[in-house]
Amino acid sequence: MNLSRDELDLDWLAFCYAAGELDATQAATFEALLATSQEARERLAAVVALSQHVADVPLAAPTVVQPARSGRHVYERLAWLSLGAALLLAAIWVGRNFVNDQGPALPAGTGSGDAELASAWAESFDAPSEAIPEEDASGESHADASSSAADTSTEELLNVPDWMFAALGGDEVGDEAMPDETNGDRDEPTSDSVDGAMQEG
Amino acid sequence: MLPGGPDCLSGLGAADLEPKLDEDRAGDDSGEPKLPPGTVQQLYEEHAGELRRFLLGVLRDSEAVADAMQAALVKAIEQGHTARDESRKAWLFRVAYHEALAIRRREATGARVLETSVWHVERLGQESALRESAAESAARREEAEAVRDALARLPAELQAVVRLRIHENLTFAEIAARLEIPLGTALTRMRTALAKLKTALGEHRP
Repeated sequence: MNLSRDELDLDWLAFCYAAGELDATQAATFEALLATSQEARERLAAVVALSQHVADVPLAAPTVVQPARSGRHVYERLAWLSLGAALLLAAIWVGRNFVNDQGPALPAGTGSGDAELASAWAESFDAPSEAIPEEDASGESHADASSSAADTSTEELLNVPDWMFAALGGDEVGDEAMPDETNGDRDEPTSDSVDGAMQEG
Repeated sequence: MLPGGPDCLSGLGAADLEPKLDEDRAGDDSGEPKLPPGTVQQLYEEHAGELRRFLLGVLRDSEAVADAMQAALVKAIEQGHTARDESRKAWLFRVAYHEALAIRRREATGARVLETSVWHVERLGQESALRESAAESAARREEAEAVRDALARLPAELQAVVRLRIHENLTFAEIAARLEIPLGTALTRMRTALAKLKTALGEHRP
């Protein structure tokens, strides 16, 4: 700060001195003035009193005319933006991991329920080609061994009691094949008997 | 620090000064009569507040201010009779100023002091309230009220600079950067605000 003509105003000079705004040379100049000038001393005392009064006044609400942006505000905004971006990235990452845990990627707009439906539909669509047995000239079916062996539930369904065939076929099946309902015993039909009954029928 | 510490001035009165003056009269080699105790007491009461603020501007430390005031008072007792009546206040301030510079040299605080704003060191009102008279306290309260009113009437842009410089203790360069105004504008605003506040304070004083 250069001491211009205006700054020779004692009040202003005294204020800058009290504020610590003068460099060493300027302060030494002012202190030399203090050694000789009672007016300068009294101005300094007045400036100190005035500034202390101002410092004692509580300024509740800052009436500052804020600039467009200040350095501190820029940093605050950057901090908030960084935080928001981090949260957004975290949300995206969590969302992607959640989708990967649900199974293979599906076309956009396909939900998990749709995926199950599509899978079931595909299985049912493929099932007839495997279930339809190939017939040879003898008329016997030669279904795929693996599918007939694996599908035990189908076998069980085919375990039709002999008495049922007997009922359908009249007296061709003996009475001995009827289950004894009195004693609760029940003959378990074998696959041979079933086949035989079917052939007989 | 001088014997007795900074608080020795707080209860200082004419009765405290009289024995010292009697001893000085008895041992005065020059033969000149020293100031009567009542005169020294009056000098102190009239100018102590202003002298304290002046010394705070130079030293920016309340304990050092008290030391300087005590040393100046001792000088007034011992040598005050050498000053003319019309310039006794200036003599007291000059002596106190030299004592302050001696303290700064002794404590090697000069450079650090000159970089510190006086209001940032401590609140003069709180510190001096313990030592000033009831009349001084009342006058200071009225001055503070006048400054408060004048500050409230300042335009917002001037208030902003005052608040940043005195309350937030920013330098003018920092204020200019904060408000995004040229340094010269910040200086002019502070100077204008000071002039308005001083005028308001002057109008308040009788």
